[in-house]
Amino acid sequence: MYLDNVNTLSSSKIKYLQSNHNKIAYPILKDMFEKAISEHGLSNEHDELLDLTAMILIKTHNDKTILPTIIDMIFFRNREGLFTHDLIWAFFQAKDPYSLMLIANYLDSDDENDVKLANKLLDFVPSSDMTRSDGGKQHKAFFYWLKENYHYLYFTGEGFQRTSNPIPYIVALDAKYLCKQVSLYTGKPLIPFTKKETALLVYFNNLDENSKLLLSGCSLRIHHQNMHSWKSWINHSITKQMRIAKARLKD
Amino acid sequence: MIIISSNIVKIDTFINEYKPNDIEKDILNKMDLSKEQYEYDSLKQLQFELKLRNNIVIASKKLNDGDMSFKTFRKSICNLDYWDRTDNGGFILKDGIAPSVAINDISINSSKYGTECATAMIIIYYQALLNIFKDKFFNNLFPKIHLMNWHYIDDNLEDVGYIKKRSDYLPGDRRYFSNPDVDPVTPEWQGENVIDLDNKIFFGHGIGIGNSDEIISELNKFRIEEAKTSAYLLDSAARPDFKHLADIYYKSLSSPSN
Repeated sequence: MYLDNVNTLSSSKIKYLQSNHNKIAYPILKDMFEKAISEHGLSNEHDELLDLTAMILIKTHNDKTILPTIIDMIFFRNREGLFTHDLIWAFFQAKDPYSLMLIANYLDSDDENDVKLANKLLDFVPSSDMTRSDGGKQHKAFFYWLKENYHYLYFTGEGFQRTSNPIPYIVALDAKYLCKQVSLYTGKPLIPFTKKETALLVYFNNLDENSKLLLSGCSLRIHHQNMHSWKSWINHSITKQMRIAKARLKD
Repeated sequence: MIIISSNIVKIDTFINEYKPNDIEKDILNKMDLSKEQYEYDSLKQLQFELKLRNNIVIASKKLNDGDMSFKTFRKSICNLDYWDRTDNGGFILKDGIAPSVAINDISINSSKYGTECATAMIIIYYQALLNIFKDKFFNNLFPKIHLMNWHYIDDNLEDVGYIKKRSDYLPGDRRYFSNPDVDPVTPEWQGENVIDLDNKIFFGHGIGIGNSDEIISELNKFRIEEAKTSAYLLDSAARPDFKHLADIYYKSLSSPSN
């Protein structure tokens, strides 16, 4: 059933969608979303319909193609003081770390409101370079952080309903230390840790957070540079690994 | 364990100031038996925390007894005599209105208000503080109030936005039930902010008062078809900075202008 047949009023479409969204085919929903974009921001009710459609497309149909449009809508509404809460939630529900670059693109916007919102949404990124005032450098820092950590990120589900500083993605430092990709949904390694790796993690997991950050970052860099060197490094005692990592940091 | 001015305190020296069923008494016992060190600069600071925690519980029950409805941010309503509603669904104190009067109005004219669980939590904190502070001091401390969610918290209350794991959970804590498999058409049920009322009972706006099983059961009604994950209570809590609020409160009492 095509929704235009229901009633032309947004309110009727909203009610219909809320009750019947499981029966509506993906192409119809997508078409509906695309047609509605042209009137975005013109009325609260119309925006509600857009948000609802977006949430269904993302959460039920796993549609990530609409994310660039969604992020532009969020920043537009933020500038206009309009309702952003549900769209921000929907955006993160896509569980797509690459899409975070869409937010990062606003870090060096000319509009102060864009920059503030981009910083707020990416506040969870533990990179010291992200605290710089230069938006261009922040953008670059975020790009490198994402590139380095992409395979080790997992989704937590945290949002602004729960906390003022949500951490939607966490880096699985233990997996990064062993250079083993994790499931985005569980944070567990895609290939389970071997007995030897589990034994290595006993020492690693007893370290403080800063040491874990240092060691996991160093491990990944050595791994990328030379597998033979990495195999040698990972077999050193944790004390020696730390010593090498600190020395590399000074170089 | 409770430590005041670097000394371990025996609670039997002052616990009898509270009646047998007082929430303060229960909190003191929990703190005393805990492995966590609850450190204070003075007995007054501790007593303030107990008083505020108790008042957070009282304010929660009062809000539950009132007629404030559950509405999404998009459809939120407020008494426009005292508040301006923002396009984002929040409420901003109207110019020329005393903050204490506007906060009290939420109880007096509760049927004129409707919002989500996060805003209800913020309202509870303000009402609890208003129960303790004199109106004049309250109005000076919070001259501008923006009620919505954790985005817009006053600096003096910012800690209530940070939820983290605790050694103990005490009455007056803000807890959170997460609902990861929520139906996308009801994002307002992605979770529920609640206040711990003691004895494993919680208040969450829109659900009411109940134990964790009851709140989980309610949230589970709003999941996607064939959901695999139940809603659950997070092992974490948010708390105001009790010591900071105590310090400014006692400072105000010694100031003749307040």
